[in-house]
Amino acid sequence: MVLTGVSAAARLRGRPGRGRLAGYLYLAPAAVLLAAFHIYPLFYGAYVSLFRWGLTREAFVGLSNYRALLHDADFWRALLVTTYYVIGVVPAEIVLGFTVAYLLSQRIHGRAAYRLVYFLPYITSMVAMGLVWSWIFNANFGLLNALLRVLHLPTPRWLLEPRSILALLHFGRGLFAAGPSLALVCVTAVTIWYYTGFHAVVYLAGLTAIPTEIHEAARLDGAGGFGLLRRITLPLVSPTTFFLAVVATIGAVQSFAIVYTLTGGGVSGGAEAGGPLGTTRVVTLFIFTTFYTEFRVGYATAAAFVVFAILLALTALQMRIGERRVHYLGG
Amino acid sequence: MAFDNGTRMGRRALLGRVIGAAGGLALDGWIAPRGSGGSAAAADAPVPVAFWHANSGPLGTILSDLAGQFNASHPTYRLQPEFVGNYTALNQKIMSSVAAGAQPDAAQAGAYGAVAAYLRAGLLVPVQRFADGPDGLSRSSLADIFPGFREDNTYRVEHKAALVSWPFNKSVLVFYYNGTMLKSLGLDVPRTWDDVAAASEKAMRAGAVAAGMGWTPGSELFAALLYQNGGRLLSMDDTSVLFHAEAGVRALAFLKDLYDRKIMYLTKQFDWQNDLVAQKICFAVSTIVSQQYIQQDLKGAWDLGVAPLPAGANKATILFGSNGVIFAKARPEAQAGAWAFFKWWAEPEQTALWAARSHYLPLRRSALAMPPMRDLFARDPRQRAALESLDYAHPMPDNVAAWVRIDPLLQDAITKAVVGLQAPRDALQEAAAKANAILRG
Repeated sequence: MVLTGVSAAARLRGRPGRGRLAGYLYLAPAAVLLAAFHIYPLFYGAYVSLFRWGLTREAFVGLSNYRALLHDADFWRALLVTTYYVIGVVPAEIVLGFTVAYLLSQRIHGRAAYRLVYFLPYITSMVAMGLVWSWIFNANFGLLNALLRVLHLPTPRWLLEPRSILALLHFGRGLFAAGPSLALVCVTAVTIWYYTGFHAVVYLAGLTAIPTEIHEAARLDGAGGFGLLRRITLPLVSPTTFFLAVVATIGAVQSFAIVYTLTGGGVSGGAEAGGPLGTTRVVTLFIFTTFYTEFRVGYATAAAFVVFAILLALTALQMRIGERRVHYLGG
Repeated sequence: MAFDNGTRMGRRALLGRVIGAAGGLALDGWIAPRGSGGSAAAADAPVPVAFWHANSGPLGTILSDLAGQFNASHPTYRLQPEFVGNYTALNQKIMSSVAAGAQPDAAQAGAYGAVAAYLRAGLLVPVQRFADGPDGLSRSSLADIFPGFREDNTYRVEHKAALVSWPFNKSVLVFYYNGTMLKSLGLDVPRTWDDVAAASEKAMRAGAVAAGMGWTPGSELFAALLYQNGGRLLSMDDTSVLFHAEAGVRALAFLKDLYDRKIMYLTKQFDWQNDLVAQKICFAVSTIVSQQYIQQDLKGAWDLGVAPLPAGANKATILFGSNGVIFAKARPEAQAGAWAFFKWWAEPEQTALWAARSHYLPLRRSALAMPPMRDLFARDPRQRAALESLDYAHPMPDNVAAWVRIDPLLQDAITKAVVGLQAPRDALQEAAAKANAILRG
């Protein structure tokens, strides 16, 4: 006998106890996985953060780890570096991703090839990509400086340069307060290069979801060119923009592999990652180093919870802003 | 730190063992033939000793060969070496195993500061306990081990100095040079840092290289120069740092001078190695183990020279490498097996064999007279360079738990001073103030 969806639902409605049980059974595999790998670690992490915990549990310290973080200049610096990084990465990824997607949605020759080219970085191994970019940025014999030498231009030290770009342009002093270091700008640029293809693909999906009749109707009403883009296309892809803004912010705050590979981790075990002078030491690297190099597990876990709280607040803020500005078709 | 951590058993562990024993008995009755033969066989079975390490590729093969030899000569034990990734991965796996309560019996402790952290967490049985035991080492045998290696593995345990870990794969900072280039320029192998500067300038003037040396800033070369100037990184009682004293300031000023005169440029990670191979520089400082990697890339294009680190006012260099540890949670018979392996590993025959095949250093002086080392010296006299340095080699103070947090401060101070962001004295004093605060706890 073939049991259709409707008849199965009707049968289940007829036996409420069984239906509920079946529902729980369907949920169980996912719920068990979530509980084992997300919920339990979350609570256990909260528990660990309340202890002085080296490699093993030592003493209950309550909120001392959190209080210590408030006074830890390295942690604040890592947060500042992360802020510079997020501000550099997220808007650029969104603008470039949309621009590429918009151009690729037009009727141009070799569109499929362009789509492949832009998406290629995203499917490249992050470590391999990091090593190649390290060579491009090599201060002494890298490709970029070789090109600059040919053009008789100054050759910066790129990933080895701890001074801020503003300081290099004689607009400021200091290492951290004067803006991101040139090394961080390099890491930011590589991140943007890596993720633009992903953003473009998501935007392409958003653009193709816009019914053509809306554009046609707008054209009939005299809209065209930039006006069409600003008044029709951009508002209608705003759910995609909102989604990408949330995902990119979370991704940028959690960035690790790119920074780790470009700034000295990997081969040497990570002791130097985050250099030069900690100017690329984003908060995930701070947590990693504190946990695995300094063996301060409780403290690192507390830092991870602070970052979690910051991300939660940021996402809530984005949701609040997004609710007002996002236009859903048919909504 | 209690030495007998393994003798007390928690309720959960007891329950686990009871269930395990019951399960073992049940399986024994189900699978093994009845009679006493099975139990006798179990009693005679070699004790498995799990040993986690980070030796990949050819090094892993040599270690496996030696482990096979150990098992053949020690039928009581079955050493099971397990490669678990590089030093970082090894450390991460050990941390995870600690959380899961399932450490190996013994391991290589490679990540810097790892032994100090394991000791502080009460995870280790100091090897001193075995060295002093019935299967221990004689005074003369212990004295035969190079002093730097003993110092590197000595920690304060209950206010006394004790051997906590055991030297495993050890190397030392040496000086590499492009022998072919020096010969063509009519230059001798530099013996002092002044020689290095002079030779670099001559090679640069001749257009042979872009700079004399490439260097990835780190605390080890600075420490070597500091010791050469008669300084120390830490006070004798390890309660305060001394790297900001005059010897340290002079060491850092010298590095800055090399950088300012463009005799030395800065690199990232192992970029200097590629630059040396490509003849963009003619000198480099690294551990003796780098030799095989450079040779591999070089493919005989030119003659690589190895010499002891150039001298300053005195001779000094720095020890590198990992040590072996025995975990407190291991069964006593497995701990005994791990110690038997470590002791065997450091015997002249084995350490000579390991050194000759791996380019790491032999652990004891008497190994130099062993056939594998004699053959190595006959084949490649450069290997002596590292050994000549051992008499004046110092370990980095990784046996001080706080060093793992102090070292990055020192590295930052070195970079800041060399690139001219801060004067050497100011940079070191700033780092010292933070380091002393960490040491005060």
